[in-house]
Amino acid sequence: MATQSTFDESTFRLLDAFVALPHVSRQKFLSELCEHLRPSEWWLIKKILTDRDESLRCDIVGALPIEILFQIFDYLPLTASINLRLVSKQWNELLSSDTFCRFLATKWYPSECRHYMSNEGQMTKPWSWVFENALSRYTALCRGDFKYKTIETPDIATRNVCPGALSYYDGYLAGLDENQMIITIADLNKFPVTTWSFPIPTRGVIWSIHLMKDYIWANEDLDRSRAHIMNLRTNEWKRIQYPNAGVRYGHADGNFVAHLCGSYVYLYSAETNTLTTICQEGKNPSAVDPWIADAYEDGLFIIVDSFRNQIVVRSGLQDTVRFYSMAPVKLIKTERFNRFTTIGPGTGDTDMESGRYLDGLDRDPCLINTTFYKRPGIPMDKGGNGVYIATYNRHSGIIESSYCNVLGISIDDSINLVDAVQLWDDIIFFSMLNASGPAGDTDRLSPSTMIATKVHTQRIIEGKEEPQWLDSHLASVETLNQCVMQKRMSRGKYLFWNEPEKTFVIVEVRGIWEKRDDEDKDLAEHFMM
Amino acid sequence: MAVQIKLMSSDQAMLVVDKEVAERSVLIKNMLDDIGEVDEAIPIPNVNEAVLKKVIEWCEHHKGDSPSTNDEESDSRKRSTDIEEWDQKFMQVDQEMLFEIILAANYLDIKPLLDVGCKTVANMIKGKSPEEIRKTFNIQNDFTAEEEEQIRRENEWAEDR
Repeated sequence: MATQSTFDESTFRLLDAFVALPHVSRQKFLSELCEHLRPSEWWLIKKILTDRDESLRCDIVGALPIEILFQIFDYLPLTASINLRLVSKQWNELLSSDTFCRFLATKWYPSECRHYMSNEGQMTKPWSWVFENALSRYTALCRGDFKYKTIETPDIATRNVCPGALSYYDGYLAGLDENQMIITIADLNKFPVTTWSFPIPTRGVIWSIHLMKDYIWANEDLDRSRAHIMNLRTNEWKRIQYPNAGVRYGHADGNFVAHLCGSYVYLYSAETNTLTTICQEGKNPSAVDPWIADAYEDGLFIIVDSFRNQIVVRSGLQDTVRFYSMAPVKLIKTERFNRFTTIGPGTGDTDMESGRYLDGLDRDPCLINTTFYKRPGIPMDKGGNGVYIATYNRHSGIIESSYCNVLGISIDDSINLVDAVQLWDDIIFFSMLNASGPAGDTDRLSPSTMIATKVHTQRIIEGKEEPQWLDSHLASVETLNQCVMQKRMSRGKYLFWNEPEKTFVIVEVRGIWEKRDDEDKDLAEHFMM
Repeated sequence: MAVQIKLMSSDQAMLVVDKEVAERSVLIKNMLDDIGEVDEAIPIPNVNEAVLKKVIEWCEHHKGDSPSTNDEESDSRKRSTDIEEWDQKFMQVDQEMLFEIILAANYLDIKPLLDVGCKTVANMIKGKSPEEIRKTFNIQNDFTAEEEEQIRRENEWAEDR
């Protein structure tokens, strides 16, 4: 009040005149005014400014348009969008809004979004549910926060490390008996697991089987041109004759099965009972030796040739063939990294530079190849060794290369990469075999170790790439020993075959919402921590 | 001599800039492509003089930059918030100005400047607890103790461990 009483009419008029001034004149006036200020008045201004400093800060995040917020959150860890809900009601509302969760979910978890989308394109769960569930499953996986259950199946007894004798499709596991003449199928969808067995109508020993959507496929060992296929609905067997006995490891999906033979790929469609021979177009067949092939439901398949300089992708729907040069891969191996011997089970080719062909194409990007690498002179924690990974993005058609730093474990000649499975967009489970045993000087690696690790995907542009190294997370399943098969069963459920024990292990990771929705059901009955 | 154009800010201030500099803004570039040579000042109704000057300063410094690098990078998991030194200094402004620059970059369609702005804000958020965020942006905690506890419990799975 005291200050106001000193204001007379003329002071008010002066103030009004100043307020009415145009922007430029106001600034001019103020700089002019500064010339006339006394020291005590400067102190007053300084005090005002200090008091005001607080109010100069504003909630810019709350005030920015949402499309700009999306860009800002692109630079933040995904968990920030959860943790920062505690800031204020406005932030909470914003960060849990459908718009915001939808943006993050569709960007980072497209396969989850597809899963919860009805045929009409409607979401069956709220976007915040989808996003939080996916992210929480991911964080649980990173922390090794999962449950597992070991199940014995005495009827399935593979000989040696032979993944061809095991096959998984959509919740069912098929395996051969130890004489390799009887197939047993286990229904893993409910507990206790039920199994049923049936013989294959041949006197020959079976080399590899493929469980398909409606069929089971078996390939004879001595004469590999002979294959048998049974319709699982009618139990009728059919014999298939391949034109060539040099059939090698293959892959099935849906009702398709693809096999390699020399430089050809045989694509067999069980529904139409037709065998298509595909040769790599425009290439001298003898110059290319396909190493491993994969087929998928829509007829898409991938061939990785044994010299690792090319990946061929053929889309059955579009009937197109695309060749991808693996030149950057080659460059890294020959010029930058030392080569490592790794053995992919089933290939039998110890001179291969790489691990085996990997997981299905139901994830984007999907894992297609892994290789150990070592960079001389670079310490472990700076990415001196690890696993090189190639992924394929089905939608963009891009093959990406990435590197995975393996947890400060020094990879030496005694370690083999047995298998890998993509558990989550950028988390990969590796199983490794340490030939030197526990006494070996390899840090933290038991004779066989399962490792879940986070992978950083990055496109390699020839000549300019310098991969970034991310810390990996470790989650090992202690009970597994010498795991030869890993499969993603459904979202959050994974299957591992424990070869020496002849058991399989189901690992389950649940998202926060799956846990909450299921709270009354007692999972502890089936799963132990 | 470089071709110059005139820009008129929201508060009616006239700014003369090199065409090349102004064309860092996709909005202005498209406008110039459409209307061709003009003598009149181009109105920028959403940006005031102080902000427009700041934006032009950025465009001046970055006029030689190669056109934006491929967009695919933004889709990868490589989300580095590194900002080059000059840009860092440039962004050392009060929050209101930072806010205005981001809005102006968005309106004028200057993607690299928008990126720098977003990164700057991201860096202000990164690694901070909700309490620190409140301090940084002068936000009132308007939750009751019970509400806060409930949200904390629901989201504790995401806490950094």
